[in-house]
Amino acid sequence: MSNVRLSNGSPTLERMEARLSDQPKPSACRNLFGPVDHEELKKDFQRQLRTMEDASAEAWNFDFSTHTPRADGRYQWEALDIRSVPGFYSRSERGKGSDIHISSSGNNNDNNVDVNGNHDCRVTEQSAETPETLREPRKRSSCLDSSCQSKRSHICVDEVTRTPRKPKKPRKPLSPTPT
Amino acid sequence: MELFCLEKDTVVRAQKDPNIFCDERVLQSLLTVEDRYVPQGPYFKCVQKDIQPFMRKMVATWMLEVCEEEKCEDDVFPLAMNYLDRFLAAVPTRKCYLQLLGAVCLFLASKLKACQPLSARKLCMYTDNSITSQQLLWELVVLSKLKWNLAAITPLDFIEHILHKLPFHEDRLTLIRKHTQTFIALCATDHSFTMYPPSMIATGCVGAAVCGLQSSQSNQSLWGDNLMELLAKITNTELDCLKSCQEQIEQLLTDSLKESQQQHQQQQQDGRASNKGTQSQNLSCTPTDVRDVNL
Repeated sequence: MSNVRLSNGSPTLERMEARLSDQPKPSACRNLFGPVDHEELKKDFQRQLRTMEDASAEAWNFDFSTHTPRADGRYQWEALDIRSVPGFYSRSERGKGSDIHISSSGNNNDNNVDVNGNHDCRVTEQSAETPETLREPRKRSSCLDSSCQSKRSHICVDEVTRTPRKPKKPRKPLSPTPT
Repeated sequence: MELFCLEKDTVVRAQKDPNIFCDERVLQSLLTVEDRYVPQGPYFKCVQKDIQPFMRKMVATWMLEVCEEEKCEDDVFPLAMNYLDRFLAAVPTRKCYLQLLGAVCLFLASKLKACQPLSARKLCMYTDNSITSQQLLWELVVLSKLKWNLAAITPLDFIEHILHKLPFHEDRLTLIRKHTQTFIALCATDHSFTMYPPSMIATGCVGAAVCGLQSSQSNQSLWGDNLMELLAKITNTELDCLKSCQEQIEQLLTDSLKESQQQHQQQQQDGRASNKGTQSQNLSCTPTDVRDVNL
């Protein structure tokens, strides 16, 4: 007979979970100065952001929250024709709609933090008016697919617009006809 | 057939560039610019009402432990402490926000220096989930207050320039470098070094490392005043200031060693006390121990 110890038999899932939870945390895991008042912290953060925005508005004579120039200051702002500026100023962002929330696979509830811990800086609290359907993760339309652009051999300037279009079939390059 | 993954977790470092370390102008540029990144004024007296020096030490020790646990690059911790000190020198901060600030500074420093930056989720875990990853957006406030000047000069930036000019073999220099890095991390945890220029801390740490290693060996080619004069000349530091700094570093090392020994003894005593309890728990409650049954 094999000399197998009973205690080393493969444990059931319940036992496995219990064992995992009993593992000690790293020694560095600790709260140093007691609980943080999250509401107060949030208010402080908003206040600091407002201060920063005001300072920027003062420095540049431009209201960044409403995207409008201020009345008087060092700088005079003038509107430009959209065709006279490079494309990336007018092109819509891909797959970054503020209403689309892609849920992470982990248990983390902070959806605007990616795997590497980088933030999507446009932190907007969802308002009550937001439709319930938009809150759920949904498939992106084909126009937002990053592979869409690479499949097309030619891209005209007028094709890159704000309104999403159906992806065109890849055009074959014209081959020279033998004479 | 077995598949082997030959990739290693070790960080691949660039080799030392002689164009940098053999050029005196680089060192001079560092010495010229370093004062921009030193906190202005003793902030515990002038700026901070709620935060005491021992609290800074607590946060610094915690930050160092996180860096060690996550095997961060050596540059990350001193740089994070530089951000912390510069922020505290400018902005009155509550005691309960200090750990969040420390986490944010680590977050920023690791983004700048580490090959794999610390993740927000891990940092929150290290605070025992007392903060959320959403709150790490305080990095925007820190960046604003530091005016986005993040490429700060730390004592580590001077080590290679100093060691390059010392007459030791490479294997010896490796040991000196290792000790120096430890001393620099130790200095970063102590508030009395916050006002010192990074070059002085680096020079003092190299001096302390060389003296510490040579006292245990017979070969004392570069010792005492000769060493101090050479180091002072390399970084244009006044000899008296350098001596004072080195003595302070050695004193700090002695104190921290005593402290760690006391903690170790305390842990051993706690361990003995808990062992008595666990021995009774460890006894099997069945007549024949199930763990000893063989099939």
